Amino acid sequence: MPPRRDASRARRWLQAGFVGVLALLALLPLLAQLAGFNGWRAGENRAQAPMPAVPRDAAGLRAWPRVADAAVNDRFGLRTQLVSLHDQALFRLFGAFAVPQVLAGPGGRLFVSSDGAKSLIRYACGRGLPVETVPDLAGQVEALFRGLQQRVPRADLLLAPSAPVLYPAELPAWLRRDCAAGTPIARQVMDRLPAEWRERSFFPVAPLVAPGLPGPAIPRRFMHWDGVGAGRAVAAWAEERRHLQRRLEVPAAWQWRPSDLSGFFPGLRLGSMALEPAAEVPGVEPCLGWPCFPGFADIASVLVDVRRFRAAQPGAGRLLVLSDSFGAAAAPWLARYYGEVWQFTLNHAEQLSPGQRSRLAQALLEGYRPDQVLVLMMDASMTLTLPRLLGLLE
Amino acid sequence: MSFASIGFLVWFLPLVLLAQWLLPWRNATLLLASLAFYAWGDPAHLPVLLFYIVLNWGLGRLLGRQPGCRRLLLLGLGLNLLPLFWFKYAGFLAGLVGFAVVPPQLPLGVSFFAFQGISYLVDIHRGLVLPQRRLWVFALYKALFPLLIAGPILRYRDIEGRLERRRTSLLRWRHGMTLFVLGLGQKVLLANTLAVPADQIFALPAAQLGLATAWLGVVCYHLQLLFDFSGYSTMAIGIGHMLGLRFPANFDRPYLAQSVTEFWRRWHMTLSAWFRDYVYIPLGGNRHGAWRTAGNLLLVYILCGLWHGAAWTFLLWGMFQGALMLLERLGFGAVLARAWRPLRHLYLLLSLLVGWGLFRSESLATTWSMWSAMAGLNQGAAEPAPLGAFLSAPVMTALLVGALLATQRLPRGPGWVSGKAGGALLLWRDAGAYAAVLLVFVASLARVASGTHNPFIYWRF
Repeated sequence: MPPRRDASRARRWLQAGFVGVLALLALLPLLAQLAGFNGWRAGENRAQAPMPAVPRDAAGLRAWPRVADAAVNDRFGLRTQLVSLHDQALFRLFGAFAVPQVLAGPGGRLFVSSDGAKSLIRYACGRGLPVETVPDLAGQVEALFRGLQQRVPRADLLLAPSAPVLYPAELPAWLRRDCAAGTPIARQVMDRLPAEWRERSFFPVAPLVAPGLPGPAIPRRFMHWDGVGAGRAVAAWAEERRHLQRRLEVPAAWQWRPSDLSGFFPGLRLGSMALEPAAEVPGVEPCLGWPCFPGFADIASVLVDVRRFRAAQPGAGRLLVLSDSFGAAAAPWLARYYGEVWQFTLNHAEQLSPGQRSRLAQALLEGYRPDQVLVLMMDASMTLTLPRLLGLLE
Repeated sequence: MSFASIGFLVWFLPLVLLAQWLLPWRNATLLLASLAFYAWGDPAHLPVLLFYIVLNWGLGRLLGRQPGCRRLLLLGLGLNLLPLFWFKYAGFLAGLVGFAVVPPQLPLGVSFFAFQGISYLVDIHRGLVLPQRRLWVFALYKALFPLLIAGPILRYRDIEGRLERRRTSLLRWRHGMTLFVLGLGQKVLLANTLAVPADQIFALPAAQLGLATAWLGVVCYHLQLLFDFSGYSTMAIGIGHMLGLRFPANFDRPYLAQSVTEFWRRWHMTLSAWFRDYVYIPLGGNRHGAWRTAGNLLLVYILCGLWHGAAWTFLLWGMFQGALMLLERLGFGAVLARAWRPLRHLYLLLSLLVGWGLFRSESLATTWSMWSAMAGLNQGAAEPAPLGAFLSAPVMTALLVGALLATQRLPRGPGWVSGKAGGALLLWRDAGAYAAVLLVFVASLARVASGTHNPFIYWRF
């Protein structure tokens, strides 16, 4: 057979192969879904879209395609694999992320923001805030202090600085100027507080960027602080502000940890070395989760992130930490100064009924009777966390 | 349902194509699938499509019996335009005379229904086509799902007799699949990437709109619009081939044009041809002197502007296009033709970019801010948004690739992988081209899938 005819036949086979492979690729998600390989990641931190029901009226019929689209979007075959592939390709090729919530600095530090750079500049760097925000927040802090003052011997506020405040030089170049032109929101709020409450508020920027720390207070790929940041902030507050004595040491070790932002980029294995307190500390009895609080386990199970540390230290006081998600890493380090530490993350407090909130406040403030309450939250999440705390005291 | 959605890519298209391949009632399944596709957008609008089907089929039959009946034709034109005016322009027109009317929700594709209906009736009246006797065949023509939402505008005469005799082949499948994937890639990888900075920049307040940012915004939109629209048309044409149908081309590398006149011969070609054949020529075209020609031209482009939407920005954009066409017709075109080629191209690009500043704006105030900033006259831009906020690495890549694709003369048509080269070389070239298409498909699918990943952040920061 002449070579030209051979080539022509080979091209036809190649053409058929192309059509076959492309058809197979196009059918793969459908086949995978029919075979049960439909991907849904709990890491998305939201409820999966419901399956559409049979429409019973005209309104239901009109809404049906929308509901069905959402259900299909959450369930199609190979979803997890395709999302992972996309995230990996985007990061490997461009160093970028698919979601606007995550921004990477030139050195690889990750910054998180709910809607791209705008809210980061606003709520961390304190620039471009609506005029009423700072007075409102200051009013809420004051109300919080007054509310707690009536029920506990002492309350303090610890505002955890976020990454843009601690590491402005590591922001993407185009954000640096905007961020530098602002005053951190925490500082603006504290400046508005009456002197007595200002003295009980602590925003430890200098201690967390001081030379000599064993590592960054917030690991490069993290949003939350690790043992370095939490440990140092807690030590500065307890020892320099409250003049408390350290009664025991918490051993810690460096470990590689996947980023706490991994839910935003499935498929990418990004992480950092983080300083982790030891799970077992001599003389401390740790307890994690709702079973630690049998008197109100139904409420604690809604809040999820709750813990207790008991130390055999006669005379040491009781501490209650009411916090956002930054409280979890701080709690083990606070056990160095108190006989008992209860830490409650209130990010899910909206899910509690008014009755449950009242029972929780009763159990924490009157039942546990802490000597000290420490309110701990990230600077940029004050607008969300303060209303949750005030809701508890109502 | 968008072509670039999971529901379409994973469920609808594969199942429809499988049904076309496996079931004996190909046209019936295609008609049902097309109606379901349309109803997916909003089931309440399905009667609008059914109205256009029955109206034009019935009037077509009547016109077939009385081909010269002008009144019947005018009635048909009026009835085709009535829903279009009601849904698309009633609110705008009422606003012009001082009434605040909440405009009804616009049914998808209503402009296309009206334009197809008009061309069908006029062509019967002109004796160019015979009316379709079978309602279901006409319904299939009107409801063909690849064309339902964004065209190309398919005239009945272009498909007459072919619906009943659809044929596919391996070559056609290859060609259709390739076109579909390349269109999907244009839409998903290029247009959607460029839409992000374009949307952000056009939404900026005047105080943040600096010279460079404004130009970046219109350039991003310039490429986004091309790849969005041309990508959609290319996908439609590709699906057509897979269904055994040939749809007319809608874009012919319009940004390579050397004048606005040439641009409109390459951009949304089926719309330009429709306006030429059913508005410009019936108005007298260029047969009644310079003034009448100028008037006709201006009117056609005003209508063309309004076709894109009922707003002052579209109307003025249409006038702007018409004025440029007029200018070229009045002598500037001849001057342009003698100019250095890059200068001609620069003129076209500037005209388009200035025009897009109007076309994309939500209001005339936004247009004014954009134009002022583009001219460097936005004195209020005390703190212009930094370019870096919009120029991420994916956006820069999309700009570069988009600019290259928009200005390169890529081979087209079924023979895009053939040539005069030797057999082995052709084989390798085919293999490379197929691999590239497969890669674009996987990348596009992954991108669409990524759009469904919606991690919820529970704090505002």
